[in-house]
Amino acid sequence: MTPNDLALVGPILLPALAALLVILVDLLPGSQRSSGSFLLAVLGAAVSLGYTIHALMHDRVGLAFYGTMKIDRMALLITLFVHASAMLSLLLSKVYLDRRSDVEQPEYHAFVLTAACGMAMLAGANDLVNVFLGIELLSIPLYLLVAMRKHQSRSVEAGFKYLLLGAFASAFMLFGAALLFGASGKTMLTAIPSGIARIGNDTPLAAFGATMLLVGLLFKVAAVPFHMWTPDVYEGAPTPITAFMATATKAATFAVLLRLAPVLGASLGEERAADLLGGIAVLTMFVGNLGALTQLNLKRLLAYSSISHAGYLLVGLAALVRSYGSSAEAEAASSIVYYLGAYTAMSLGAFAVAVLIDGGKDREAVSDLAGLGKRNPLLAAAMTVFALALAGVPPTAGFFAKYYVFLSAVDAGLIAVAVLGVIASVIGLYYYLRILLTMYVDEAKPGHEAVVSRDALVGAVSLAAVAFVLLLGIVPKGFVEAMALAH
Amino acid sequence: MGSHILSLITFLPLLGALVVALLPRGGHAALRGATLVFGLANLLLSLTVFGVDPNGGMSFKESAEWIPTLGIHYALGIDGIAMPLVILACLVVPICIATTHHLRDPSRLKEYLVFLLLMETGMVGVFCATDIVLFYVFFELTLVPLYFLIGMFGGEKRIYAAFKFFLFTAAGSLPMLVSILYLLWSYKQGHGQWSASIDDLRTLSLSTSEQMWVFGGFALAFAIKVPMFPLHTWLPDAHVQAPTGGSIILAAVMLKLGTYGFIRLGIPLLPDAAQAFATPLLVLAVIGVIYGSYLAWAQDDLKKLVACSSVAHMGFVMVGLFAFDKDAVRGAMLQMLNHGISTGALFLLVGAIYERRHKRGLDDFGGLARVAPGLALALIVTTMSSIGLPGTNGFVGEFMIIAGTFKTQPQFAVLTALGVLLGAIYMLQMVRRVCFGKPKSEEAKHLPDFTLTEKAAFAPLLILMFWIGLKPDFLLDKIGPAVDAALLALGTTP
Repeated sequence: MTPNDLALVGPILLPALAALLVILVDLLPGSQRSSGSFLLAVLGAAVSLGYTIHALMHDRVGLAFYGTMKIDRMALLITLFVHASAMLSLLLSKVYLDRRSDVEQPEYHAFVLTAACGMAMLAGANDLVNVFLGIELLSIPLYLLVAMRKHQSRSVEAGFKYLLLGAFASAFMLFGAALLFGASGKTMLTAIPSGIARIGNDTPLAAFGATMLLVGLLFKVAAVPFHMWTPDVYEGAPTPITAFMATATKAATFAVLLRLAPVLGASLGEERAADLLGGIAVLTMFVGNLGALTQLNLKRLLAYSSISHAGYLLVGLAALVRSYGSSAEAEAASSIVYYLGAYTAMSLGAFAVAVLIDGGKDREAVSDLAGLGKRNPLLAAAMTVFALALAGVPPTAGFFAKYYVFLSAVDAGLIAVAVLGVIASVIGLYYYLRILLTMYVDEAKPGHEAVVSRDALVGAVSLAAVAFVLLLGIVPKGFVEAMALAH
Repeated sequence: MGSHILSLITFLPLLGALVVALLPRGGHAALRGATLVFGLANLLLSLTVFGVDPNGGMSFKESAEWIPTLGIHYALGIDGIAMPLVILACLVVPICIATTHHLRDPSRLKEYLVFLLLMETGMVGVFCATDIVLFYVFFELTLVPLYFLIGMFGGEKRIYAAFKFFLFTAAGSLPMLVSILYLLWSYKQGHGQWSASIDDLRTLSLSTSEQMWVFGGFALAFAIKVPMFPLHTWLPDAHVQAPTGGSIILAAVMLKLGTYGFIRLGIPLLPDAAQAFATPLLVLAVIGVIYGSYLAWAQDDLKKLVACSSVAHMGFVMVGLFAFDKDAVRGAMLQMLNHGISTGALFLLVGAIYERRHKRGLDDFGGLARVAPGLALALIVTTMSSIGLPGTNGFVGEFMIIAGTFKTQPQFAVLTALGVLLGAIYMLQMVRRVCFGKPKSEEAKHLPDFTLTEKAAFAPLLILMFWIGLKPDFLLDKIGPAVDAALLALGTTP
């Protein structure tokens, strides 16, 4: 371990340090529990974010810890999404928790930072062991965070469900990692393909191992058929945590999937792996969009929407696996990173609106948005941008994200997947439009007017997200180029 | 290079929308005034594009990098085909402002005007885009404001109509996205780099079967927009439920996006497929003409009648387009404009009649010629233009379409001519029931006549009806060469 190693993994260490600090300060006698820990946590997330941006701008990239960590631009970009998501979720938490007394705040804040540390680690992991460590480091705090409202049976049930299924998924992953090690003699991701080739191409051991590993990761990104937990957990968790899980977990896990693409190709065969991923992508897009059609609860609706977005991302992954080593490869990889950035912003924004209208009374129905267009036109306009972006309507980032992903799918020869993805998007339009109509056309039932909290912080968060979603869509040039370099 | 006039025309309304959005909600006069200033300023600016290259090339070109790694440019340009449509789009927006005095929800006038200006940006953008991705972005951009115009300000069943409108058109435009992706990919296969420039994509030589698939994606999107039978069912709902301004924009400009898409993308980029699809499209277009006319004939509701007549009239345009005869295509281009003028005017008048009594049944009025002679006269003149009486704009367009089609596809020409007859029947019986006879009820005896605002809104359309009707050359001289350039790819220009 050299000082350089430490500097490289700064974006991973900083949130962990901040988490420790939050817990330590909490132990001081007479400390202002909630507000002190909140400030410290936000500061910690902000410093981590700043450090990541700094590293990105000065191109602080390289291998660390004997190559088991690979901090490249892709890792830094995804770490950036993770830390941004952590910080914004913490800000949302302030509004959410101040209206509720059943949550222990210092622990809550420390767990968010710990999970962010795990996600950042996952983004840079280049070794099966580190992948597993990262997954566990992000999962365990999340299990707890989901169940944080301990007097609410919905929250506790969700936490328990997530824990049980998550433990299963981790077991699958570990098993898969062991088999892959057996099939290749390596644990380093970049060395596994050549290891498999040396031992013999045709080994079912490698195929089996890669598939198992994939199952564990697909569980984390809520891909079909490993998505069953998502609506329940997203609904039961405190809303800011739902936002954090939906965006940051997805981003971090997709970083691993991006790195695993050559491993998948080597162990399953590029064509078979692409077909498998393409099939899962199509299923995920359809199940997500069809499932969302009938949802009355905003959080459940966004959960299904999040499933469908995992599907679009998997289209990009299938394209990446299919085109590995060809000219289309860089495109596919950067399309996924672009999509993750866009999705993080638009999804966080939508959840921020959900936090603002909930009024401390768990008002989460889509119908609670009724009349928002009249009572709070700014917030309604923000939600309009997010819903249109999630639906993929230009000129928002959501449109270019879809465009880019489908373009790379066509470029990789996966035309059928792109066509089916487009059809799934048409279905998706319906429920996003319903959100818009509810806000602008429906009148709120008397006594059910959404109590919009006017919180400057969250207002700023939403505004930043709106700006990002529009900027990323209208002037995507700089971003697309940054993504292209990332690979 | 150098000229940014097209960017200005495209984005001035967006600026206007921002300004209007910042004005206080209560000041209706200020809101309308600001919108009118922006609308009229943009109309004046748009008149400069009348100076397009008379040889059919793209004028006022602009280009800037947008996403260079994917070959996407912010590229604008305008030719004789797009020029009249841009001016029309800029013309109808100020007219729509005149219809805002009787909104369903007057407290939301501000939103209405913002959406109106946003629409203008989208519409002008589509007609000016010379990059296929930019085209798509603007194409989609027009959906959202119109969706809100219908959904927030429409009639009883506005939610249903707005949903149907959005889902139909979006369901069409997404397959188009796949077609666009395929074109871009083919270009990359051949040239090793991405390009989304429509001119570059014209150099592609796809096999006929490839073209058929890609054309299918485009045709679906555009046929829904036109709308062609049997994809027209969203239109009557949208028209009937939309507020007057929404109907005017929908009829005058939005439907043209479909036919414009065919002439700008479908035919020049995929000539083989366009020829292969010509007969089925002609059959559907003729069915649209005749079936739309019958539908219109059967209506008892003024607005629905005009909506159904749109299906028939756009069928004319499609026949002219796919007859692949120079004169017929010229006629189709002119008829796009004519339909915008006369149907826009019809919706304006129907809206004015409706606002007076909140009824629009054909048999609710009677004797309008005596009760409100100005309004009745306007309705009669517009009807004449709509059914193509010689001397009005409709005659020139329809005559050119039928005469041109007769040269290449005589059987379709005969059937289309039948549509002219049917058009005269249903429009004239509408005029007879509304304007003549005795007033049907006590209320129908006393209606205020044409107001000054309504006259001002109607006047430019009236002038255009006769100007184009008597002296169409000033437009045809510009349209002709551009049409020839668009048909060049067909190879078999007669």
